[in-house]
Amino acid sequence: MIKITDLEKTYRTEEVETIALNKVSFDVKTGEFIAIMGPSGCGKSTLLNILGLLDDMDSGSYLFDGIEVAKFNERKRADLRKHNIGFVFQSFNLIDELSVFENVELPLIYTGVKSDERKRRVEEVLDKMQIMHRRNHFPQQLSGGQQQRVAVARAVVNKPKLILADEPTGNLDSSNGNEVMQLLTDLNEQGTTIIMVTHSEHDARYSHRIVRMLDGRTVMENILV
Amino acid sequence: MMMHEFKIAFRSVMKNRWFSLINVAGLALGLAVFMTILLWVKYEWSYNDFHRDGDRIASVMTNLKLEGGEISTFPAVPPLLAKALSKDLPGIEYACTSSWGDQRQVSYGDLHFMEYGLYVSPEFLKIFSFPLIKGDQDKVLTEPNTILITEKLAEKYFKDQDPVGQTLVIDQATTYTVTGVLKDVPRNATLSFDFLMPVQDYIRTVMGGNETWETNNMRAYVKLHEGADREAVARSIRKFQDGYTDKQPNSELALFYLEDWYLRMDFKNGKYAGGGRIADVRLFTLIALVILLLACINFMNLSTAKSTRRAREVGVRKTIGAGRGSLVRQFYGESLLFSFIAGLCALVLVSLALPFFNSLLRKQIAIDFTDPSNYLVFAGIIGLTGLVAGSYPALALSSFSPVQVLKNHISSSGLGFSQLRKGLVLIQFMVSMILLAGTFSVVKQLRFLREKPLGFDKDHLIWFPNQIPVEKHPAALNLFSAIPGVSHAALASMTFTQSNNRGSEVNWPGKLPGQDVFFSFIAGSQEIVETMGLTLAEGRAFMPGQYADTGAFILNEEAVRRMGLEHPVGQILETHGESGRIVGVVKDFHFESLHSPIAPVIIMCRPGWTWLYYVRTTGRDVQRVLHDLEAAYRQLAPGFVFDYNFQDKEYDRLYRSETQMSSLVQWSSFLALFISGLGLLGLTLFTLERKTKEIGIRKVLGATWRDILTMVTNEFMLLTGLAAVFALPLAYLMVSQWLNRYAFRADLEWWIYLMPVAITALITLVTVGSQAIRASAANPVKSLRTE
Repeated sequence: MIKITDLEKTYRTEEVETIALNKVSFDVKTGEFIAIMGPSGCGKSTLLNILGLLDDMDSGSYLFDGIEVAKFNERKRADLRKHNIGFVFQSFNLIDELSVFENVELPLIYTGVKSDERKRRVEEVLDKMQIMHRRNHFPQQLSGGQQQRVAVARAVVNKPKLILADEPTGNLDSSNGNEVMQLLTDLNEQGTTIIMVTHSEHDARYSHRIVRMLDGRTVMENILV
Repeated sequence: MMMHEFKIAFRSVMKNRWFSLINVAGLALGLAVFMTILLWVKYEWSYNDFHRDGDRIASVMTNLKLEGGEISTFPAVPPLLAKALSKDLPGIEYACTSSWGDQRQVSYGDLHFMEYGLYVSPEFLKIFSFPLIKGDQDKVLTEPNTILITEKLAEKYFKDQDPVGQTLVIDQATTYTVTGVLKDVPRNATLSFDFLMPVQDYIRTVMGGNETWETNNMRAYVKLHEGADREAVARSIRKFQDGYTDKQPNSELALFYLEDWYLRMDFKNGKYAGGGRIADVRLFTLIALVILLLACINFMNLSTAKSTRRAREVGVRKTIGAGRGSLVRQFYGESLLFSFIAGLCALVLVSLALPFFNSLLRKQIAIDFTDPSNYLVFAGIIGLTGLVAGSYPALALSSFSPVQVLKNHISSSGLGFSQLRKGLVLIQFMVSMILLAGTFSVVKQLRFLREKPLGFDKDHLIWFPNQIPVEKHPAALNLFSAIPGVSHAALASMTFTQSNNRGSEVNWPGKLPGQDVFFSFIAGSQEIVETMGLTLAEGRAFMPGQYADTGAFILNEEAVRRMGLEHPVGQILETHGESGRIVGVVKDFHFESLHSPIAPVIIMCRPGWTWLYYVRTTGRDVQRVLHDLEAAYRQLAPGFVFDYNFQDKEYDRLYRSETQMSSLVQWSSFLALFISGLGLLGLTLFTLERKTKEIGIRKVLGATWRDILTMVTNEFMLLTGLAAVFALPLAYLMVSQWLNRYAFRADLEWWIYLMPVAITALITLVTVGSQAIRASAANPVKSLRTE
């Protein structure tokens, strides 16, 4: 599904040049659940952002379903994102002015789904995430765990092929964290490919494969069964 | 999608109520000022637009070449000109002669009123669009002693009776038969009147039948044939009168078209000099645009200040697939929503302000809700304002990189917004300072105009038109002077606010060939110098007594200088076909507005050539004096209305336009300052919100409220200083240019320019300081916990 080759990314300021990714290469097969681990600043979030087409790479190749997407313009990237990729963030990133229902509905609006169909699909996913009873609440009225469940619901409502999760349990207690990990596992079992950045060995054990990074390189892969 | 974006916009408004209120209030105020001034501009442009074929109508002007090659332009022409033009000049369809406008007493039974009218030739109604409601268009104004009156007069004198065929007595002397009724003249007419009478009556009675080519004492209007070439007509009219007279070798004729009468009445050396009311219209259009821009700047400023809050939303939306276009649309949608709400508030404000505005400017401006084009203009203004105000937020916020904002690696200051906001605040400060400097300058100049010694005493001076028979003048002067509280009385030919008799046909000893000086003539009785409070520089005033000094002259210093007379007193002068001795010289005095330099004046002792009385009072018990004057006047001129005026009020009328403009400038400055203040307040609130944590930490580390105050206000005070550096030279240039329109100018001291800076700094200090003190009083523990 994903094949990246010799991916490079450097951040430059006036005084400092920081190599975030240094010739990173790896593949992700459809249906895989991959955890990316490493110390802070090793480049794992940068890698995730590039995989999600939120950030540019300096050089290298990125094939998504066999199509080279590295040189896609902003419009094509937005298009690919909204149809194929769902995002889950550590800090949930829900829009405060929108209710639970409206937050989850947002991706469907951008993909042009009709109102009736949107309602059906949002309710279906909220039901599945067991957050239906909070559909009219606003994010600030929810607990962290509930907010993350809404964020996951928003990520999956468009039935993306790929979910990118950036430390999805980082802001949650262990009980809520486990719930979210179970949600991701369930989604993976239903066929969604998941790439997750995490610091937690515990969370990483939910994945099939752990890619370990250090100083912008992949240094080790652990295959878990 | 639209609904979704509207929902977000609405919730965002509700969530940030104060911010929204400041934003809408600023924008509404800006729009209200803009719309009000725009209505005024439209009204100013509408002058004379009710005349059909306005582009073919013109007034005939005389360009008179004076000594030194200077050209004086005025609308006076020979009485015979119009007839000759319509007969002999190709391209002219109609030409008419008109008097200058006359105040006449109109009587019907017991009703006596002073009314204003014109004596015109019949073609007048073919040139101008003054519809005749009753009467025969082909016959009116052709018979002597006939009169056309407006509906207003018809109603006033005849109520329900048919006015046609009724008679009115003019000046208690001549009976005029009403031959038609005209529709009332619209307010936006330059040429206005209550009645029209045949010009032949004027020539017969006022000018003694003396219709000549030699004297420029009438007005003429023409209407060109359809399709006539203006340039060709201009060429052929230039030397037109040379074919009829050789007495006007220095005069040329020109056409001044109707479309320019109201806005572009400003000539220099025979050509349009670029001024007139159009200068005010342009200035206030600019001020209106600037004030709207200030309001838009507020909007941009507050929106970018809010950008850190909106950045995450942008990041999330982009992450889940929103393209930049949809975000741009969303932010434009929000600004249009704000603009629409502000527009509605502005409409209410304009409706409330218009009566006040109208009384201030003596206009009848109204919003015509039945005119569909007004809705289009309104929608255009709202749309444009929304787009301008929303442009920066829409384009900048939508450009946020989702990675940066979602990782909290972005702040409003890190995006260059901080610099932008400072730049925008700088512009607001600059505009406020320039407008304030303008206000102070206008007020100072107006005060200068009002208080400048005129060379005669305009206070405690009353004038009234004279209907007393010539033979009773000496008795009248004695009677008026004898009234307790009256010190002097005299007859005069003008109101000492505007010259009405000018010419160059004057001869004096030693006059050089071609030395054509354009004099203003004032006729008066023997008492004129004392009554007007003129100061003698040389010689003496006219001797009191019935026939003493009749035909003698007094000059002003400027006349002596221009004539080149070394010893004027005793010299013989010839003018108006008669000669007389110069008995004295008075110091220069202003008998016109201070826009014009002092002209050379010849005061002629000719009581018979006058039409008004001047009475100087001691200033005490004015009501009783007026009562006694009226009694004396009625005794001498039975049946006539005693229609008195105060000279100082007459003088103020000279500067009515300036006074109105001054009020407009003052209001504009105040509103601009208020809008800027609103923006500053909003910006301060957001700055402090961003600095809550910093203030908390500083307080924990021992900062006092003074330290916090200094920290917050320093930045804004620095901006004020910087704005002053840019604004003051600009203000100086603009004020100097404005003052150029006056021949006499006030000295503008340093405070005119420093006061605006001080006021802006004070407002900044109070606005920012009060909020800073409030923020510094907050418990640091709470602010740190919040963060």
